[in-house]
Amino acid sequence: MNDRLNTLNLARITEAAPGNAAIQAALTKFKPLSPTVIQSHPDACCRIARDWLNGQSRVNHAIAGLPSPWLRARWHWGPLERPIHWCQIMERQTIDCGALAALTLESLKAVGKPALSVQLIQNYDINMVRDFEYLWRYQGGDYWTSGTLVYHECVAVLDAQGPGIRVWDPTVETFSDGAPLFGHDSITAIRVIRYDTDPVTCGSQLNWRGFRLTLNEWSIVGQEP
Amino acid sequence: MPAAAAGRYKPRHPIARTVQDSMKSLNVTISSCHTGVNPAPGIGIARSLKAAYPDCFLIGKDQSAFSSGLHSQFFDEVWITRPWSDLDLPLHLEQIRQRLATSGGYFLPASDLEARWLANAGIKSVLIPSAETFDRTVKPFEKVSEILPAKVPEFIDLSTDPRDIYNFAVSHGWKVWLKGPVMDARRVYNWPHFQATWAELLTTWGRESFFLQREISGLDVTVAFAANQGKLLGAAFMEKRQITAEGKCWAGDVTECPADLFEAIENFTQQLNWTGGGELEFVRDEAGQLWFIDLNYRFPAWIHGATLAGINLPGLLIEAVSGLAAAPATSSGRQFTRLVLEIPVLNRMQLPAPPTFRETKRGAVSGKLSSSSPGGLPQLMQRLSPTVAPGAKFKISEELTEHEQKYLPKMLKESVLKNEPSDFQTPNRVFLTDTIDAPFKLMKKLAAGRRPVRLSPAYSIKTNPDRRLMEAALKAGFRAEGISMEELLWAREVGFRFEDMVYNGPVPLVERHLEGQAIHVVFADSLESFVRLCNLRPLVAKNIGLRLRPFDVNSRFGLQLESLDQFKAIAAAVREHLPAGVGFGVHQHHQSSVTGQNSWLKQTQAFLEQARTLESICGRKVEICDIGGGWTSESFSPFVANLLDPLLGDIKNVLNHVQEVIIEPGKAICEQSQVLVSRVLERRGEGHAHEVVADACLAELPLAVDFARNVYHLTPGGKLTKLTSGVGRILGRVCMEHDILANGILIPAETREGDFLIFSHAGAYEASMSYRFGIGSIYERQA
Repeated sequence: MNDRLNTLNLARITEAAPGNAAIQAALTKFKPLSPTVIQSHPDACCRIARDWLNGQSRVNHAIAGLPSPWLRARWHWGPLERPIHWCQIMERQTIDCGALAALTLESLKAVGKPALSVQLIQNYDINMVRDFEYLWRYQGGDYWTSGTLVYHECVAVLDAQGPGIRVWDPTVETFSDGAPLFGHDSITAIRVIRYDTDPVTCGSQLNWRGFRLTLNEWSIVGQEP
Repeated sequence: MPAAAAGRYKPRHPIARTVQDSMKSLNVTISSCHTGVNPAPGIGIARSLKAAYPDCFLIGKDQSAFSSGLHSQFFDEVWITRPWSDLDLPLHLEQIRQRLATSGGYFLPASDLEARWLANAGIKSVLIPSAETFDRTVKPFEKVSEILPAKVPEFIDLSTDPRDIYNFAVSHGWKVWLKGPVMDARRVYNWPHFQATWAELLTTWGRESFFLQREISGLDVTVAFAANQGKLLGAAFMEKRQITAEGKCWAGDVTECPADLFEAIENFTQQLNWTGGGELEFVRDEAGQLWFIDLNYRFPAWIHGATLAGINLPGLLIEAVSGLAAAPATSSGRQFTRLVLEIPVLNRMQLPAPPTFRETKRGAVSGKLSSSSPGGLPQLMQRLSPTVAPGAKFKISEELTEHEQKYLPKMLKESVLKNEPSDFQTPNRVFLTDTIDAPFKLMKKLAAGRRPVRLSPAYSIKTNPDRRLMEAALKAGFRAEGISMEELLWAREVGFRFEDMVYNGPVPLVERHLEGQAIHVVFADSLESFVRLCNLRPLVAKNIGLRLRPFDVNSRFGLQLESLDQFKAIAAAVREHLPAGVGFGVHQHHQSSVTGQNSWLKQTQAFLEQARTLESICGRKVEICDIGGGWTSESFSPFVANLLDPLLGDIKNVLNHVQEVIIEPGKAICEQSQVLVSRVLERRGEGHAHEVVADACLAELPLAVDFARNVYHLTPGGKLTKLTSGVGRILGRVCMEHDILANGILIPAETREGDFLIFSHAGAYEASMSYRFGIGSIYERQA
């Protein structure tokens, strides 16, 4: 039997590997990037926008369960400037993965589902990375790419009991729990972020796909590119 | 876990000869070789056997040169026969027997139907389950599921009465599949679609054992296995990652079978003494529960995907039965995808001539690519189980339910059979007075109960404005709910007060008819209407509200509240125009009889959340909430018993300032209050007649095709029979193509002209929407 058949053995808990030079270079480059936070103006404009998002989250939760793909139906994926405010988001047709993740986080909180921000490093075919850089050419181009590795934001949905999480990728509207860990469109590294101000309670170690992740630290989970 | 169990592999045959010894002597015939959008398994089996035995001699068998796999490189010989419709089946069986005896080889039929046919012959070298195994595993597989760690989705046998079938589908929100006894499954979406699909499947497959089964949402997973004389040889578990429009796998991920499932399949093959390939199809829901959907008596079409992952089940099967050692299985990766390739057709087997302009149903001579079988498997099914002699295999009649026994005989005695039956004028809508007591009493009791909010039942006048029903509603403390000024004036004539009435659009309220009085609440269907109502003086209602459009539903009614801009516009109108001292209300309406109870509840939760957001943005609190109606008579009592109180609690939790919840169970109360009595004008056909013509028509039953009802046959002598499902029809009296009052129903052989046909559930919209048609202008003359 091929070894690859055992890749998803969930009973196995693996400590993160150190990663090769390409991964280390990406980690160094992406170090300044923190999960997207949507800002609020002091006026009613942002309160109303946020109230609407929370309301729509509860509506979609009632109809479709969680996490709901409704955000992706409302917004296209593409470049977005920072900083971004709640009222501005509502005017936009296109937002990036960070804003989608921030909206998803807010949406999950609106229905009482504990969730945290997730940063990913993903491996892509180099031609697709070039496409990303071209699309973002007016926003700095390659600040979120490093060779074939790219920076990405998602959301961790915490298990009701225990330290397990599932990672929801709002950009592609699916859980990343079945995503490849090698080759094109694979996950190379993951970091789950919990700020001190975050109301979510969880231990410092989380389990995901058989890996033990340390909160707020990068874990290498995929094969080296 | 021991390695043998964990690996889910069984030791090789102990007397296996070497690969070199065995290959050239191995001869295997494989049928069903077509590979299209819904591919048959033949090619996959052939490729796997070539991987296990590179020099084996494979014969591809099918019924048409259109069977694309026959032209592939994987077959050493092609055996093409006449289509199933034309084959001499006993002769063909003998040919198979002789070929196998001569070659000393094996036959792997790759269609369930062919396997079923061959099972009766008991040819040892045909590697399929026995006839007994087929008999013991009958769809929808309740007994099989007892062996497996899986549940069978709820289903209903279609030999029951139509109203039960309808209620089953409604209870699941029409997320149901119509399934045949051997092959074919179709998703059906409503009653007319169900009836048309069922008629088509009956024609195609010629059998009566159909059932309707609830759809399970989840991931399609499937297990392919091979067994010999009950001994499980191996199994492969596959998750479908990409499916075609027909639901067939296009790309998948293969792993070893989970240990508990493997053990269950071991038990399954042992109990059934299974020989051959097989497939168990499941859906895994979000909670991880496996639901057993289908069993196939042969390898699946994706079988070579398992071989690519290192699990060569056809190889294991042939190795076990022949004792010839197969080449070791190797893995190229656990995931596979399908590919469309053009290959040259065989020189000695050119394609049939182009299709003629005349359509033909025979796949073998048609150029149309449709199913997995250009050889015409449906024709084989029809030959194996010739029907559809009307009524031949249907139950003759259904027992009357307790409810029917309570009301029908009394009604007949007091109306149809009261005098000479021939004097009874038909078509005639007969009121069943006693049927309305219980629902009105129930609502009266509910309204009087102590609850966190006041519960107000409202009688929907449009459902049936019959004075008897209106008066009963008034007596039971209902509000009157109207959609036109005429309805409100009619309600006042019956005895309702304006101040107790509820008004819903889209027709704007005509304020001059109110004579300065205010009704209880009016719900606007548009922002324009809302603003107008708010600005009328004197005030036309003590409460003014908005009808909200169901979320994500393409409805013409109500205000859409999905984008922030829509919320802002509506909130501004409420803030600026709703007078102080006038209560604010919200209203929804979507029929649970169409969406199903679960969807209705979800939509209602969404409606409440939209109202909460609106409250938050506009600053006015919702005081009246109208949740609408649309329950069937059968579903309303369970709703009240189990769901109403929790729902009222939810409403109060979400909309804290709500004082009153209005509920409109019109159809639930009315639909069984009347039956339509008609006469048989003409009986057509012998025995269980195909169809009869009645003296009623769509004018008296305008929704005849839209939902199910029970139909009763009454002889002038007083013999009452409830009709069951069948292949007959009751045709209406007018010359309209669609004037069919009942479809898929069994007409009893003893039916005679002049007999009565009684249609149930004729007391709601069937009454209020009926019209004059096909009777000239006799009413005008009378007037």
